[in-house]
Amino acid sequence: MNRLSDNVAYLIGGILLTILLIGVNLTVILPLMDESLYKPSSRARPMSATEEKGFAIYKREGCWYCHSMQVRRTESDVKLWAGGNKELVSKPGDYVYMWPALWGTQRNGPDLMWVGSRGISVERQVEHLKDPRKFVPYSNMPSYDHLPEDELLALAEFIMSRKP
Amino acid sequence: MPQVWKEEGSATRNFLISATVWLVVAMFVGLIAGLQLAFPDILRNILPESLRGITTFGRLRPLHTNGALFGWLLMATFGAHLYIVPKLCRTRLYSEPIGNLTLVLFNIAIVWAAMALLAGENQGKEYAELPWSLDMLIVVIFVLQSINIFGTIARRKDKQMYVSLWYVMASLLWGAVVYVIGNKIWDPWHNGAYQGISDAIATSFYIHNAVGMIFTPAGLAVAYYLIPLVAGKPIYGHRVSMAGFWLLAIGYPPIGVHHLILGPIPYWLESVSIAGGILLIFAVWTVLYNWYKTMQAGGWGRILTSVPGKFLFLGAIFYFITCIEGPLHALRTMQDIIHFTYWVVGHAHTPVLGAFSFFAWAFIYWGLPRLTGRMIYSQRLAHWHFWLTALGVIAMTMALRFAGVMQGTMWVHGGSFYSSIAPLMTYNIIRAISGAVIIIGQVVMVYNLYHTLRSAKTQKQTTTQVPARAAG
Repeated sequence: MNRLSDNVAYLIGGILLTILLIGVNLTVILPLMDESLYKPSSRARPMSATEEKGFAIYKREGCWYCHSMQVRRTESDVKLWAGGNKELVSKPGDYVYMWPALWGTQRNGPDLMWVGSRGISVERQVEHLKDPRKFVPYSNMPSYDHLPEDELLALAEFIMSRKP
Repeated sequence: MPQVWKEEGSATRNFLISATVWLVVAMFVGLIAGLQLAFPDILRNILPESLRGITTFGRLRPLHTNGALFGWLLMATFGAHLYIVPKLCRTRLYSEPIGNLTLVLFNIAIVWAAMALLAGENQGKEYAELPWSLDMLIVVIFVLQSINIFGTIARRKDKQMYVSLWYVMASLLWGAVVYVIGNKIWDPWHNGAYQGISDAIATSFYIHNAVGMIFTPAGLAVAYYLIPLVAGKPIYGHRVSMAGFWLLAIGYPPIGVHHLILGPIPYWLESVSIAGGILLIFAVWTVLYNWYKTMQAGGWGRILTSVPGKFLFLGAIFYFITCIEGPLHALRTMQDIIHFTYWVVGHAHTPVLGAFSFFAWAFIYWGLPRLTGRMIYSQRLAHWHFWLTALGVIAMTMALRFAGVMQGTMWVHGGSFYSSIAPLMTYNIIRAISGAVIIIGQVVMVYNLYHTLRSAKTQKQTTTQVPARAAG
């Protein structure tokens, strides 16, 4: 009995063809060829050395598991995270200086796309990182008072540099 | 080479034992991480200052996800495949020593990964947190496993390729492509990152397809093997199997980007992912129909009284739920409300902890007696394992879904974001309690398996049971 479904070479070919054509080609390579994704937006700025250091700590401590950096074009996102200003909806060009873009998948805490424009000083942010519940009673963020001062400062600088 | 490395079936047995150990570890880490969401200072009073830095939620979460996904689920299904493939090919495994070597490297990788993650080595990419050097080791593991699987298939005595074999091959080939892209393994200089938002696009391809194109086919292969054997009937339809497989192959690859719907990506890309999701409903229902008819032919009494049968049945139901939910999530109106909420966490647990882990447990209870020639120590305890796990998983995933709906609607209709945090307390406590129930279930299993392996041999080793496929 010689059936197509018993032919290993055809199977391997079909398996690879579907993922490469429909998966990799259509949803990775094609969008990545779009040059507008790499053109910096008017509000994108390269990070300073301290901000880079803070960004590395932000990645290392997994802050991005609970904080998104992405204002979607939905009504509630614009209301909560962009102060009602539709101009502040995230654009691809906002992320060009971030490797990788920490866009986030969950919001256990607030979105941090424009946290720098919420009128909190770097010093106050350091205090918040050390003892979040001093500022927000129900906060379930870990206390980061075990981090050295210079790391806390760099982290706070990175966080507060997120502004348009 | 020592004889233990060559003993037939030793690789699968060792894979299953190792995977079970990592399962308990990963679940325990998950419980501690989850508890901290309800009680953020719970460890502060217990642990010395030096350990506080490595036990924050942000450090434990990747340990839980990577441990459960790779340490438990991938390891358990790899082990199952090393048993299933030779049986279906009516031959011996290509190389038992390569199988055991794969497991040794796999365990080294898991221990190394755990230390790296606790030390804060994190690339900032979900499920792709591990550094490049570890990615390389995982590639070696994939290659070794592929040599064993494809080597066995090449030497098969039965020319028929049963549906499980397609899925096993697919999980390895799709897995290779997905892993290479997601971890950008040709580029050791950028910590796996693409530039800016293009990284989000590539990562969403990876994080969803890691589940959909590695764990899904790997788990379906196990279920497709066991269901006809437990039912005592051939699989319902060969053409139905084919349709389910190829619909999955076409529908799954593009849907990863739905993680970014309404976000800063091209609109057409969102639509492609939604279309793929809708197609997936047909893919999954085809598979489930095939299983349902096979189980029905075998008789529900037969399925629902055996331990593997129970696990397979409930696993199939979890698969059904998750695969209706998934395509609906991808719709823009749903995504508006449930994205970024706990709902997604509940959804994510349903396929990997619900469906595919249940298939893996079914295989453990089915395979270990046949591999070792020892009866399961206590059927009663095996049923306890089933019920504790089932209740825990249902309670946990439902609590997370309720919490998610509440979060999402409060963000749309409520006042400040902060007012949505306090009401989550109840759900986080339910989540922790149900998580603890699940862990108790696993401890029962470990106790049961330990006594099974310590007992005297009672039956002949490795019977040659192979499910038949229906004609047409």
